[in-house]
Amino acid sequence: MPLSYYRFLLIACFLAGPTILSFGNIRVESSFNPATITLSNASTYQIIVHGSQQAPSGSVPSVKGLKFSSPPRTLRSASFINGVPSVRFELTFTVTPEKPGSFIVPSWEIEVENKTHKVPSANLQVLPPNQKDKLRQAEQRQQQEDLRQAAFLEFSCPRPFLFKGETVEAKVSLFLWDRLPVTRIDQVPAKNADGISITELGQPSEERNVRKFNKTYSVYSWNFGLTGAITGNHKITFESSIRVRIRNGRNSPFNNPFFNDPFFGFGREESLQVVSNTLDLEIKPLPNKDRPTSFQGAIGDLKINSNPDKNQVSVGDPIRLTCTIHGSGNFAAMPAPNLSFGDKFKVGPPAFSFSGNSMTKQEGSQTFEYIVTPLEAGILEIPSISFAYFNPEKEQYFSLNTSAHRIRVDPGKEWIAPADTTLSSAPKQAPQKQVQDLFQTDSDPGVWVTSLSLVDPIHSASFWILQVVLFLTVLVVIYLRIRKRKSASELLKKKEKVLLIKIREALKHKDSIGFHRILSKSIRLRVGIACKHAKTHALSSPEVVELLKSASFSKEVVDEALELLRLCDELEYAGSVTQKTDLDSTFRKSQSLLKKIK
Amino acid sequence: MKNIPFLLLILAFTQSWGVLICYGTSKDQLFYDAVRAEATGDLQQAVETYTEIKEAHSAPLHANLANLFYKLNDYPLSVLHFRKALLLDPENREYKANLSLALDKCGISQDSRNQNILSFSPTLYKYSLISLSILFWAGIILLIWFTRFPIKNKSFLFWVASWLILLILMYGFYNQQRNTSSMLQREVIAYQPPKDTNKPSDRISLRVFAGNASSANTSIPAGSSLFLDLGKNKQPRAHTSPDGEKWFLMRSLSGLNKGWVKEEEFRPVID
Repeated sequence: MPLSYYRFLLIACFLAGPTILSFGNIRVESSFNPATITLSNASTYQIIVHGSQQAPSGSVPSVKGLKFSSPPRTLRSASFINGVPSVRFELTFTVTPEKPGSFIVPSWEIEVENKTHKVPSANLQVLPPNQKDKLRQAEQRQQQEDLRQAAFLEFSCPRPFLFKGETVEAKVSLFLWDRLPVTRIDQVPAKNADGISITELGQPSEERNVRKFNKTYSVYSWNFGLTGAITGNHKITFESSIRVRIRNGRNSPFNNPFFNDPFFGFGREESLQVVSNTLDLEIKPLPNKDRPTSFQGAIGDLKINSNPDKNQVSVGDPIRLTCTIHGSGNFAAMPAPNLSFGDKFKVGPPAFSFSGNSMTKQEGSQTFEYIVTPLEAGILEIPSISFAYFNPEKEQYFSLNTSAHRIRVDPGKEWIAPADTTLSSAPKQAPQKQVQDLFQTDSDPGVWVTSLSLVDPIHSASFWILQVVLFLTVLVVIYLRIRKRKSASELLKKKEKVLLIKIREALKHKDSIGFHRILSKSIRLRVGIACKHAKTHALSSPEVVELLKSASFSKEVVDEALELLRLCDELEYAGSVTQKTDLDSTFRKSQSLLKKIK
Repeated sequence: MKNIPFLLLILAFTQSWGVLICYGTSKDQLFYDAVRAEATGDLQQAVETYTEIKEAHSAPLHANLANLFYKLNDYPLSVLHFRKALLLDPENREYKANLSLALDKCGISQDSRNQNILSFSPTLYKYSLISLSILFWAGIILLIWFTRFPIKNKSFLFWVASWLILLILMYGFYNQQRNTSSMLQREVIAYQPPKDTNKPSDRISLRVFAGNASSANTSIPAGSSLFLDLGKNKQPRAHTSPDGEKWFLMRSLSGLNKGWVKEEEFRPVID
């Protein structure tokens, strides 16, 4: 029986097998492989359905202490055993033990082709971990610990509790292990807590070569102002994300962060979440006892002073009264002190300005500038300003008063707005544009210039510097161009010399074919130089001759060149060396021709 | 002894900075004093304080002065200082709107101001020259680098021609800007002190001859722009009359109005 017949039969059986053989006897087997393992290893629970390739249905009974993977791996197979076709369906579960002991998967039922079949029970023996397993577990723990230590956030607050509204300077630091291939910090640390507010995190300060956990870190630290907003106990964590470069394939920093040489392969970037330690912070309410009436929410350790810009003015002249609160405290939430100067002064709304650490706004000085206008003449007194604050360290309220300032106010001249007089004398006209709204006085002098004259840019130094630079560039370009041209012509001359040497060698060895081949090259090269054609070697002999004609060479030269090139072609391509030529005379002739072609 | 030159150098440096700081402070101080004077209603004092600032200009300074002159009904001077402010801050919409109001007050119609006010951008002027020079030199460099003799490529000639055309166009634009700049240097604002409040100032006569007795070609409202006529020596054409009055020949931007104007009857925009 021919081999192809067996092949055909085999293929037919495979194709028709499930249909034909599905009517056969169905038998189910189950077993663990291996049947005995240690605690740190895994086994497989295998169910084999003989006689059918249809997927069975049913559920594996749960066994306490064993964890079955889901879904199982499946395999359909067909084979010939002693000439008898056989089919089967395999289900494989990975089983992970959770404790040592002897486990039995009891007999259970499975449904195949609408018929229920019994799956026999199977035993698995789980032994306690051996020394190797213990070592592997320790290694895994170490890897997890290493990964945790590779990048972490450290958050610190100077005090374990805050008062509501109090601001302290806190710090969050991102530790990045130097061996971790971090490409960038995706997200600056963000707080995961309610009940507190923080100032914006700006640019971090960077510190290199910080030793911790026997590792070297780069540390990025953000200082910020932390303010207690809602009373109660709060758990505060910070979270950030960084991008790390990992190798493609199986090695991942999450399985093994200490992979080799990540940057030199074609790696990819992955995001890594970094979470800080949890800090328990209590926000206490401010005490009501002994709270001064002038308290407006200032908390910290503060001082106040006030200073007018002049001591002698006329009635109506503005006085700039600067009130400065300095020290450490909640400057971001600090309102301006209330001034009550009576009827003698008119007080405008204050202008705020803060100097100090603008990121945390916790330490520095806050200036409130009031415009105070005396309304009557005489020796007036700017009263003292009362200011109360709560000191969180001493946990008590303090009241401060600035010193009073005596001001001499002269009567001055009474000014009558010219607009009023003109309007009263002028006849009433139809309402025009809102002029008063447009003519605003600029209070800032702006940028001073010495002259309004338009400077002709042609007279400016920068213009002429630009011209000189461009001119020098032109000179450089000319030099490079000449150099390039010179080197090209020198190269051609060198090439010609080499060819001449080769011709002489061929002449010496009576190598007729070689002589004519090199001679042809030499003539073409010279024609190329004379006619400024870069690729004469690619031209046929008639084309080279045409080139000579077009360059107005004499007929004698053209004919000579044609004759020599034809002779070279015949000897080189015709393959005939029967024609004896006088190489010496040809050489002389060629040299004379080459001299003429210039 | 060796350190004496070094110490002298430091002394000179600190002195020069001291002078600069004092200078800066005095200008700013005068400005603030003027703002304060204006706030208290002493407009005349404010104007005097502003005018004490010598050889220093800033857009807010001229705008504030223009506002003051407007409030004092001296509209031509208001126009003059708004023009100066706009030279320093050409894009300020508030100044433009205020200038328009001041011109209205001078009795200058929208049509005549469109004909007589120059539009000029110093930035555009500067960049047109720089672009022209870069285009020129870049063309030269490319020409040197890519030219191969004999020239057979037609596209090469096309590019050279395009470059030359572009160069001519760019030069034309630059030249136009240059002429405008030159005109601006010669621009003056016709001036007549205010006689009656809240009314347009008297008109300025452009006389046929440089003399009070001469008849006028035409007259223009105070606050209008005029341009000094240049002689062959590129200097303004001027004439001093026997009574010592100095006269200048002027014309409007369109050239339609031309005549002699007395020195005190105009104020230069750029002085």
